[in-house]
Amino acid sequence: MFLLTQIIVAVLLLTFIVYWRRNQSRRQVASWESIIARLRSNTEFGFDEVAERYLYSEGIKATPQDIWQRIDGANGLWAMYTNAGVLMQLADYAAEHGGGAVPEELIESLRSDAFQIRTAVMMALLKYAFYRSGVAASINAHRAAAAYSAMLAHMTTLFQEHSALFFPRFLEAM
Amino acid sequence: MHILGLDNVLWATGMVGELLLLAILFWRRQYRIFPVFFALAFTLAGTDFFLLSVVATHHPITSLLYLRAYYASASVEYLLEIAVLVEIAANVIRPARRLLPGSVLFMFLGIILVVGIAAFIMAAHFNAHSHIHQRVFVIADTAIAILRLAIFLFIAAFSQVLGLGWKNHVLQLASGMAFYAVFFLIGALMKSRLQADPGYMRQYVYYSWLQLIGYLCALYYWCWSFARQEAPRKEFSPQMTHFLVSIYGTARRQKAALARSHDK
Repeated sequence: MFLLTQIIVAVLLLTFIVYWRRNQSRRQVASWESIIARLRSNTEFGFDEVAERYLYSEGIKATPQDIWQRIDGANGLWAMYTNAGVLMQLADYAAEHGGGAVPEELIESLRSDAFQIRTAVMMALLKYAFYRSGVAASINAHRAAAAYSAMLAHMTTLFQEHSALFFPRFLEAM
Repeated sequence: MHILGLDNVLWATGMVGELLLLAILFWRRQYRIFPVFFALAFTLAGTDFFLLSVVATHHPITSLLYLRAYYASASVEYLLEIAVLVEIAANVIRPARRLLPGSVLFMFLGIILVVGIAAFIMAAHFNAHSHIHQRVFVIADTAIAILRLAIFLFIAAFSQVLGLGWKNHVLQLASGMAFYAVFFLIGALMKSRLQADPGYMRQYVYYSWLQLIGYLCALYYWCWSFARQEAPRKEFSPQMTHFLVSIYGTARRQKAALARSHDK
């Protein structure tokens, strides 16, 4: 019995290491386009209804009281978490391949943006898991949604102004 | 020499690998990026010569003097291996260092301490079934193996949650360390279950070989990894720069807006 447990634990550990290693390797060789393509659609959790002018300006119409229902709760938060991760990856890509073209302060700030969204989402999800209620998580959810909205608006501006090729793809992804 | 057969081959392969790794780290100037790992490579290479000198002075590997020398040097290696994991963690969180609280290092050291104590208790529990005396070394080996793996898993999970990327060499260093840690843990657990019977020594040696093979794989993987140049940079177009510039400062503005709305 003990031997069997050991084998199972060893196999699980090795599987995790291989999985983690493969994920990290893929992340390193990912192209700019493949990273952007991983953005999750915001309409699936109703964020287009929550934003003031979805994709075109900062700000959200929701309050801390109703944000939880309007973003489909944990599902919406998880989508924001995923998209913030994509942004973090873009920052890593820029740091790795940008050379002198991108100032270090900018990279730091970008990481900070994504980091704040992720932290707010994690806090909201932890509170939700602990209290089993969206009310406790609402302040963090509101903070995450507000930061996320601003980030989307800036991304839209960029694609619109600087990348005619990727703009339709971006809209489609959103 | 009192070391024969496969033992001889594994030892020699290990010595060559350790010297090779040390030379590669020195040649690539990696000691500036990974000073602790360089110190570990230096210690590993030095330890082999030290142990060889003990054997050469007519003290076989089963003698008490050899065992004392072995575990004295192993203790230093264990400490350095834990320090390498701390070095890996520091490298991984570097991009987000300003965003994390200043006490994060102390929290991490606190976690290591707690996990270390838990690992020792677990190792002692596993070893309790063996009915063999003087197995402190096996307990220490198992505890260190659990600790090493637990720290690695913690770093991997932490970076996964926060979305922190791993640089090429840090990733390769951590992969080798994790692979070796798994093999070492399997060997240590198997040793801790050994019973006092005539086959004890033979089985002990087999499990040691398993650990050693895991270690050699990691060692030569590190040699291969650090001998290679970092991946070349990809093209970074002006559009990409504009992308980053356009979203610059979003969080700062957002924070200010939130602060204003709370003040009202």
